Amino acid sequence: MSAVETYRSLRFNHDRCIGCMTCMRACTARSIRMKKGYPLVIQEKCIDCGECIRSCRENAITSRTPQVVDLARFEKIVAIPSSPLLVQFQPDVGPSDVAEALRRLGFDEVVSLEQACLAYLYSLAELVLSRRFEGPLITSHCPTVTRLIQTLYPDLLGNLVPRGPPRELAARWVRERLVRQTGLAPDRIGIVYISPCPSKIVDTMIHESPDGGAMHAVLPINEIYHEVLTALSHMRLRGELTREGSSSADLGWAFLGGMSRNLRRMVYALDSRSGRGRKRKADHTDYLPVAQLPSVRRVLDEIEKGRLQHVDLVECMACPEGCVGGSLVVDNPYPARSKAIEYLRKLPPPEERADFPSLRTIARSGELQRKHDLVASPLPPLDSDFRRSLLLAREKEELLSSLPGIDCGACGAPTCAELADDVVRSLASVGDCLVLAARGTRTARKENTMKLAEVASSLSLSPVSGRQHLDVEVAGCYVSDLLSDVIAHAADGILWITLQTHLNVVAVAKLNNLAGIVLVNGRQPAADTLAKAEEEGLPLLTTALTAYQVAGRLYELGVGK
Amino acid sequence: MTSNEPLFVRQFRFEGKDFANAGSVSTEVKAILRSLGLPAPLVRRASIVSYEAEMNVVIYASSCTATLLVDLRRIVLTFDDRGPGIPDIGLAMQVGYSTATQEIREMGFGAGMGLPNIQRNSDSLDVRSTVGHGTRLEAVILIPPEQAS
Ligand SMILES: Nc1ncnc2c1ncn2[C@@H]1O[C@H](COP(=O)(O)OP(=O)(O)OP(=O)(O)O)[C@@H](O)[C@H]1O
Ligand SMILES: [Mg+2]
Repeated sequence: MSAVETYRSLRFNHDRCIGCMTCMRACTARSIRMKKGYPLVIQEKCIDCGECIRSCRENAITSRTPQVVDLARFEKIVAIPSSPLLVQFQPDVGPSDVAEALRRLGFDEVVSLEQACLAYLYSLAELVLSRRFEGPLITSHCPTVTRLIQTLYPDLLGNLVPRGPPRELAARWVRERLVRQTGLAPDRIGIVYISPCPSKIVDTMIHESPDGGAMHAVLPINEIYHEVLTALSHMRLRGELTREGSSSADLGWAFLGGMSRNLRRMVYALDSRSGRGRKRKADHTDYLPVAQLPSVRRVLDEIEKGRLQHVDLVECMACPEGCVGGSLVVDNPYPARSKAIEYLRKLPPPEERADFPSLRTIARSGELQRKHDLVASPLPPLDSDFRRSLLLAREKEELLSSLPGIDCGACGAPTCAELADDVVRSLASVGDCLVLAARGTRTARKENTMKLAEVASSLSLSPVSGRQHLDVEVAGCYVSDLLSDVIAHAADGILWITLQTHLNVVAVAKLNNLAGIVLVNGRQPAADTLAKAEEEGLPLLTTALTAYQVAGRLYELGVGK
Repeated sequence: MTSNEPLFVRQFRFEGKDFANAGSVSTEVKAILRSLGLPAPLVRRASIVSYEAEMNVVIYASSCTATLLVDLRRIVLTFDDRGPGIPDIGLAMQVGYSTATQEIREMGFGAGMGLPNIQRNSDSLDVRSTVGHGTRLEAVILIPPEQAS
């Protein structure tokens, strides 16, 4: 678990970053904040969708990848190219040419995902036909979608296809085979996955992650692209599809809808084999392919509300057009997609190359099962204490209504709502809002007074009593913890800053007609103090700031100067 | 309720026939309740209640003010709409009773399951209606005391 939290795929290059906030706005999970002019990711919120990488015009965001030099310690190095790599190049470059180019780059073997995909399709077809699930199944081979469900749709975890991704299976198979064939120790065989997306890098590289484990390194497609291109230019292209006798099973994974198409065929084949003259279930099977997070979320929202019950399987992909649109690919996704579709048409369909008895054995063996169950990782509540959460939620509402609502991003949060959330979680301050600050200074300059509500929102003070009197004008402020001193020196409209929380502070404030009391250092009023203040309509405001900080900020705002 | 008991209130206004935005209130309700750290089954019940109530407004009524209220003891969801009203509430509450048009049924609604679903997922439910004027639905879901302590 801790590894999941610490290993993140994103790296922001500060030499290139111009602080334009494009990535912050592009982030669908709203996980990016601008701090000191540079983007910073709130890890619990990030789902590794790669939208920021795609959006950055300065190419300042890259996917963190393990050092390739690590591979030197292996005796044999195997490449497992994901299917989008096979369709990245010019029309005359066939998947067999790409495999040959990879061998020329030094990989001892290039392994196709086809057999693993076939096994996966078979086992999924069995599951679909069994109808032993409630509501639509949701594909789980897009790790971003899986992570989205873990964070925002925990109720739908049970709908996720309970299978690990084919790449893990392929990696395990090749390692076992090579150990058998060469007698090498398993750890002398290096396996490298070539990936179109940062999310798969995270998943593959984290051994603790539900799907990780079998791979040693992951290369982003865009980092190996030019080397492959160079190798291709020195080759006599053959333009062939793939190995003799293989099917289109793996190419279906490259683009949206391809997997559903292959699965549909597999379901038909399986259903007619077990026929016995009954009504065909396959005729009544519905598949729904969806791509891109906003659309995926709409569909997940509907499923969560019990709709789309007639759908058997939702193929969910985070990227436009599916994995060919991954944020680490080079080619425009559309030519790649049509190339994949063309191959899909030309290659034998999966069921024609499927050896059903052996696929059944693999499915029964549990090899396709996830290594770990997927668990919910919802965003943390505002506070671990329900009572505090309620207070904070209310504070957030009030804050939000005082913010300008124009989502300008200048505060460093993508929206006003996110800023309000950050403020109540103590990750930001309302003072970060430049629009409010500009307004606040203006009012303060004019009269040298400021409404208590404005003071409270500028400094993120939490009103705990006397909320109906927050419109009082604050004429200045006084810092002291001696009651007699306050009685002597603080008068009408003064805001009193203190760490005293006992009952007498209310009496003193009332006596001298003070605007309110700020309790510093995170102190909370004693119960009787709070009750008395509420009864007297006296605003008490709490804050984690020190007296020095509160006074300094008020001075900066110009209050009482 | 004493004056210093925490209380959260949020209002939503939305229109009937606005199928494009249908479901957004209950999505928001769900997000708010989650952020409060309420247990998942409770959140699920509240979001089912608000979804069904919201869809009824979208399908049958013309405009609505919905209110989500949460205190230490309960979640209260109120949907107050302008619309045709419900002539026979007892009948409307029955499983399978629906006046949905063919068009609506084609969109997957109109099974007559909404109100019974709301009933099943709330601890108390109050529906009042004036024909020709509108309908007011108030559903209460109790928060178990151990949560609030
Ligand atoms: N807000 C409303 N205004 C007017 N009539 C309503 C309203 N809500 C429900 N009704 C009436 O009550 C009937 C039953 O509602 P209910 O939600 O139980 O089923 P439904 O909406 O018809 O179908 P389903 O909810 O299963 O899609 C509706 O068909 C409609 O005639
Ligand atoms: Mg209904």
